[in-house]
Amino acid sequence: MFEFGPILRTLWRNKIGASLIILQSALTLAIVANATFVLQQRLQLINQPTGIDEQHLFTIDVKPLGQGLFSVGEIQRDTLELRQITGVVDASYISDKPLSGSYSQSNRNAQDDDTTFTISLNQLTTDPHGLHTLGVALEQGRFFNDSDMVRDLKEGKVVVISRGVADAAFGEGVNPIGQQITTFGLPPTGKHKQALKDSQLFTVVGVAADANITSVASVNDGVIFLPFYQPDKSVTYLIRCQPSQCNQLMLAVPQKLKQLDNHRIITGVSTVMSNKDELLRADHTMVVMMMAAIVLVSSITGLGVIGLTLIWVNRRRWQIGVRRALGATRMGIVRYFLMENLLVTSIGLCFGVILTLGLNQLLVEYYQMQALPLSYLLLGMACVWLLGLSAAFVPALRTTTISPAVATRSI
Amino acid sequence: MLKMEHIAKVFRTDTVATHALRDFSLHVKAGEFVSVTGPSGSGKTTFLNIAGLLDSFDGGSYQLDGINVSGLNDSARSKLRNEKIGFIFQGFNLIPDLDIFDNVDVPLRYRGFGRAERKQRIEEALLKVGLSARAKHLPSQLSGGQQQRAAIARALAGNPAFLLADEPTGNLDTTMARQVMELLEQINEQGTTIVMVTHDPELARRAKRNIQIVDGEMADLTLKQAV
Repeated sequence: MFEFGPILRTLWRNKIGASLIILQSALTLAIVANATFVLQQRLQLINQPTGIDEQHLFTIDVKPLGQGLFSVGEIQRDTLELRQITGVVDASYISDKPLSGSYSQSNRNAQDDDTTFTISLNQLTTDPHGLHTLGVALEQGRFFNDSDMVRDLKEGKVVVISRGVADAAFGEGVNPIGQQITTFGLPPTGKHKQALKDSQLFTVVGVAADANITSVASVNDGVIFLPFYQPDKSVTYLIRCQPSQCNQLMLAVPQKLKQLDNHRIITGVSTVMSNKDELLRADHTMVVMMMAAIVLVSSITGLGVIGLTLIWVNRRRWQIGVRRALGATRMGIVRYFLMENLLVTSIGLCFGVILTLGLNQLLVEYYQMQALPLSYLLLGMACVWLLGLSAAFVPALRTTTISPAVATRSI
Repeated sequence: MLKMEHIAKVFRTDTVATHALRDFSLHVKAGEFVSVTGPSGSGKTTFLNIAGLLDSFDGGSYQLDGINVSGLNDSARSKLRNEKIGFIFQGFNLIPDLDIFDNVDVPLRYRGFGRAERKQRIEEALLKVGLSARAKHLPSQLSGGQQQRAAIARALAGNPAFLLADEPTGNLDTTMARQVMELLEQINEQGTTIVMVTHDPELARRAKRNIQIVDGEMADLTLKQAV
């Protein structure tokens, strides 16, 4: 006994209230489906494993007093001494703090007659202990040894690349060991040979597992490790500690460095996890805002449905009484109002689907987002349906208190 | 058809108990046309509500078409109301958002008839009251007399055991009232039992039998004996 026809005709004659719910349902679907998708993607990014031993890493920044630069000897001595401290798993020189968002990124392409080859990577300068200190696995070949380390990049001969860079540069399944590559990750092979004829080339000696070393939200191809002591006014050491030793070592390491050379200052000691938290602050804020937007929009829609259903119920008390007098059961009246709400919400969802896909198209076009999967659209529709029905349920139940004798009260 | 025995109905507030009906008995046989009259506040509406299963009663017994209604739950009362009683209200009580066809359709949907049967019954009922051409009109597009005829069509469409009319001409001018009354008389002549509540003595006299309620009771012994 579903009164689709009469309900639709009744709604058609009461367009304003119904239009508001239709509009609200459409907007809710568009916002909730897209926001949930963005939220899910962001959470996935935040929670994805970085591939480094982030829980047991901290960095220490050291700067010499005066205007001098660090010498390679100082760096080698410091790292050697740091590795001797009890509780230190490994220590290394590193150009960029892990998960700090600070990195040297390179996006290059080589163009030939008809092909554009693009690769995006992070360049990370470190010493032979860098990979082990980070806790990243070596998948193939070897990492650097002392003889690989140079003071000037122009003297460099070898590099280690992550699997993603290897696949992007040489193709999946191709052995990258022994292949040549630029610091930008471009191989001088095939059609690109001519384009890179003047570039400095390095031999790939190892392939590391993929890891987000410099940035959590990195979506590039990976990392190229360079065996290079970069002369600078400050250096950063990366220390990997044994479990539960980090707090203690964060005090012991600065003391050790001061003990080795008192003519320098410690400018910062920070855990990689704190770097990560700082890096993700904007993402966490975004997640909270997205969730708030979803809750807010859903609440507004829910309250709108409750309000409108209450108004409809109150306005139609007499009509409900007449329907009861004509034989409607209490649940029949409740069912009528729920069906009415379901129809209005469904019409809203039809417009909502168009709006949702349109909004997603804009996000894809202007913010490089992925296309909204069908599952999000269907889930969003189910949620809005459920929201509308549950919001209408309590006001609809109030109709059960209306006596059929209301119909005769005109006397 | 309708058998009320010693019906009592009391409306209570914290301080006052009002006896709307007391020791009220009435038997209506199939095919009768009974008018129920009385002054305002006499208990006519209470009688109507109880007779139409719109309200409960506190004492006595009531059998409708052989069914004792005392022990029925709300759902069963709704079903019985829908199947046995056709209502004609003073204010027509047509649903303003539905056209005449859909208005007549309302009780038939509750009855669970299929689409084709409903359509046939609606068309027959509208033909009977002379409103076939107005099926797609909204109530507001009809005159008062036409609206009441539409309400009569709605009451008749389900082929009820009896019609319960509540001041059916109360909102109509003389001409319209006469037309509606003639229509009710025709319906009664075709065998439908009618109980009509009215405060109009002229109208009451046109029924085959008249009973009067005063202060919740039958007005005089003669009528009580007749019952």
